[in-house]
Amino acid sequence: MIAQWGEKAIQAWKDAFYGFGFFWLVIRESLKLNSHRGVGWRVVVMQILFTGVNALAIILLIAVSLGAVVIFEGAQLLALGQTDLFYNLLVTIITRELGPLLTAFIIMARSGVAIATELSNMVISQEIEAYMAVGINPISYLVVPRFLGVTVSMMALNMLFSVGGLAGAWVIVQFLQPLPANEYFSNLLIHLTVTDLVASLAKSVAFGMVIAVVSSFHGFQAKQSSTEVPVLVIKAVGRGFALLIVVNVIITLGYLL
Amino acid sequence: MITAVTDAPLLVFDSVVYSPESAPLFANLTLTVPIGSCTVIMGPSGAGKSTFLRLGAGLIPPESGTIQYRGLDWSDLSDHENVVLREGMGFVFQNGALWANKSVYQNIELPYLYHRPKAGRQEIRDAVTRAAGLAGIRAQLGLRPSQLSLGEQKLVSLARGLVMEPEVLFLDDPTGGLDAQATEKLMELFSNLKHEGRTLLLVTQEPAVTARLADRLVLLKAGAVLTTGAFAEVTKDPRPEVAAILTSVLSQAATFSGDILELLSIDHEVEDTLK
Repeated sequence: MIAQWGEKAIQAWKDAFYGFGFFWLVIRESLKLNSHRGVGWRVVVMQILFTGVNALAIILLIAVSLGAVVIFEGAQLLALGQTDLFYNLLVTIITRELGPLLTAFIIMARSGVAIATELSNMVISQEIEAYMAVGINPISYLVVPRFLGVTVSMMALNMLFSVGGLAGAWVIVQFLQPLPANEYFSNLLIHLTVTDLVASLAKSVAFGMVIAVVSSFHGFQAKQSSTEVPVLVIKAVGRGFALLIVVNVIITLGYLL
Repeated sequence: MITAVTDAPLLVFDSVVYSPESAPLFANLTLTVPIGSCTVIMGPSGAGKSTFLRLGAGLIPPESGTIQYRGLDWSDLSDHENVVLREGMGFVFQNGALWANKSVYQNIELPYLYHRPKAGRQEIRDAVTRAAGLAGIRAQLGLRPSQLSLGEQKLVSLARGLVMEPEVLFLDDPTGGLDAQATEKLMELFSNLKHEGRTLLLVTQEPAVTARLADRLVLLKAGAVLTTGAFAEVTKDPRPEVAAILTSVLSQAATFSGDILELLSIDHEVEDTLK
């Protein structure tokens, strides 16, 4: 029993070490994207289209729904004269905490799964070896465009979530509990600090990197059989979610301290 | 600047160990494959022929030992050296290994786009059409890999391997699953490539292909080199295990008392009769 735990711990340590090496490779190759002979940018655009543009509707729906609930419930604080508390709560939930995390979860579930599935299938069908055989580095040609595409999309969708959750939701709430636009938006701008925006942006960049690297890393773990694909995808999603939460805590602690 | 040794052997395997979890293979492989000839790798299924080819092409790294390609160790190459070397070699996969999200045209085009980033559209088109013509798949250029038979996928893989007009071709069972006419056409193509001075490293189970193309043979059995050398020498090797492998590989049911060259020449006659 103890030996098994020990083996698992050693394996987890090895995986983490290998994962950091993979992350470093992706960063190094990303810095050289311009020298990749022009074939990588097309994939970046396609990835932004899939991860960013195609996820607009679901992100907006969740942002507006969540924002409307928070505004509607929190508006009771206004009646009690707790204006600062209400707007701080809104900014904390929508812009700084739940917004980036929910957006990341959705992207992990959509694009993370797609990347892990696609890459593991490519390994199994020897497509990765075919790239290597013609001299194309699979990290720079396959992972870097996905890495950049997912990170850029994550930043854009996170901003959209904030706009949808704060502004879009206000429109919805007007039908239930009118809040004067002037008062609402001017108070919001007062309580929305640059630090909040920087924390939100930092989270979106970090989350985008985590999603792309974790899903690509697990995709490349495939060896021979198509039955490995679902197992690896489940691992990618599970570990991706866990890492997103850990990174979120680290950045939030950095913000609070 | 790349410093490939021009007169170095094609491949030098030195104490190579490779044993993936699923199938332990090479325990201590030491072997030299010369440049400028057609070397055919033979052996029963599971002997490690395809793995040998992938190791030699630097697609998978050995666990220990070194593999030199034209005097350069795969594991010591810089990114630039790797790209330059790969431009001069083509690899045809046993299963085709085509990029499923690209059309046949794009599959053949990509290596050219990558190695000749400044090439004009017409130049690329000419290169793709030429390679597709050599492999006999011009009519399929607009299709997707999933729309092709396995044989056709291999031909696309061959066209992709030929598009850069490489000096060295790694061929993993290129004629498997092809009809007699396509096989004959490919043998003619390989024969021409050989006469142009290109180096072929070929895995095949087909006696006719071996008989027509092989200058040298490498016989593998369970991850070990049983024998290697010039075609005529190997086929005259009196050892029973060599004879047994050649017999089984060449699918000859008859007793193996005579010279293998005679058996192979019988295949030629059969082929001629079929024509």
